[in-house]
Amino acid sequence: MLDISPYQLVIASLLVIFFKQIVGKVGKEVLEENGWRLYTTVGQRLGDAKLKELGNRRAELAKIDRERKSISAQDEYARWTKLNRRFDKLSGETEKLAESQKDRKAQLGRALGVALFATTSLPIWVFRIWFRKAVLFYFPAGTLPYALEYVLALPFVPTGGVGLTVWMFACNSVISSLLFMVCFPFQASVPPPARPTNEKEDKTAPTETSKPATPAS
Amino acid sequence: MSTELSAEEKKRILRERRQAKMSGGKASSRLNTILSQGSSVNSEATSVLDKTTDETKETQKISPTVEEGLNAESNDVFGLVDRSALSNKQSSPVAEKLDNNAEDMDQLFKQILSQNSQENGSNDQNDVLSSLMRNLLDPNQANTAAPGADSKSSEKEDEYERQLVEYKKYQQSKVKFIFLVLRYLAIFINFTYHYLTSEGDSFKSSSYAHFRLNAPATIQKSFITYFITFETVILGTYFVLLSRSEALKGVTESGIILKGLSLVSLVAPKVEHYRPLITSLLNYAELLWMLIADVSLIVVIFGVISGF
Repeated sequence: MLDISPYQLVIASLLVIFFKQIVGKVGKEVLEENGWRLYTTVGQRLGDAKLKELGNRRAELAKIDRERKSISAQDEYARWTKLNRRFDKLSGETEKLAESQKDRKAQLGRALGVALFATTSLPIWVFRIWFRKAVLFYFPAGTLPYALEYVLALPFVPTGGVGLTVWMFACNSVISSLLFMVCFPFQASVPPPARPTNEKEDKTAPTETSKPATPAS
Repeated sequence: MSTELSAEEKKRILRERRQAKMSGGKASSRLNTILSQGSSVNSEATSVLDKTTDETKETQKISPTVEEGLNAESNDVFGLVDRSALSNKQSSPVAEKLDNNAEDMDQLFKQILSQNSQENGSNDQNDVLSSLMRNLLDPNQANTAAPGADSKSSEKEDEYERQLVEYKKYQQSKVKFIFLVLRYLAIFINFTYHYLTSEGDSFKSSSYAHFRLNAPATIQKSFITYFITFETVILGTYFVLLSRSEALKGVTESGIILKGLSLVSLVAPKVEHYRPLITSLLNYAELLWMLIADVSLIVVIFGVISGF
């Protein structure tokens, strides 16, 4: 049934593990939020009435907010108050509409979870069960010491070859290291902290301001 | 009204008579008489009133109302004493005495705890507990914290310690990043050199087993020789940094194993002797994981080129 070549298995497992690591790095919650945003955008274009109304109200809310921030409350108080009242009313209505879409959002979250499972965890389990004794590739002779080749061949593969277990472990290790190498330069640097000074010492030290004023002669 | 007064007068007269009997060292004999009533065994108890210790001297200094109350209580075998009236009289001086005793005990406890905490380098009993909790949560904070009596300065110190831990973690990540780049570069350069200079398919991996029979011995062995040399130099440098640098050391000690050791050492202090050994083992374990990660890279590279 699953008649694929060893090299296809190598690449397929590498891509699945890479995708799984990316999902783990990004986070499932972030993916759900973005998925929902995409769904609402596409849903509006496809003509979903409620989503369209929600989108229109959000756009109007953003427009009112921009207008309100662009004018001064002191100079144009009446207009600002009117805009503020409209904004509050509209934000209340938008929230109610968004609440009604919660069930749909939860359904989308569940669907996304199933999709992620089907594309990341399920293939790995299928490969591990179906191809557990497959030799993916052999090292050229003499490249690595015999002891190392023996360990890398565990548990089912002849010495000199690499099986799926070791291959998946190696892929996980390398991909996580590469992700670390790519992400670390974008991480905010932490400066060395400044040791706090003793407030009591500062208070007891004489200062110019604390000296009593000399009486005028 | 007249009956109440006469009843009160009767009580007062009874009290005075009993007091007269108690004075002059007769309290013990009266006590033994009461205790021996109805039994064949004669008791030889000594009444508290007859004791010639400091406590009795203090009791003699008590105000008359208190003394009266104490005597009345001790004499009231049949429950004739009006306890409510007594308690009203007794409440303030006796309560004061009890409060004073309680305050003395509190001061005594505070002195004991402050002595203990001063031996540990702190001046506040709360700091003993807070240093314990800090030791559990993060050994770095316990070692470097200087808890002060002022709450504001201790908050600033805590904030400083937190920032210091964050800084050390960032420094460790930075060092790991640098060494990771070095290791991967060394492996890629080594592999690329041998792949380009090898004859035919001698340095290629394949899903076919017969590829293993075609390789001349020299090239493959030099690959592993260079690999071991680079790994020894790079990992050796990292180990020296790990064992000597204060920044890297502090973060290693915040790991879960050493935190567990700190918890266990609270119950069994002898376990603390093994801390340097366990720290060394953890450093070696980190080196081993780095070596395994580098071998994994070799496996992945050979795996990817196996299809070409």
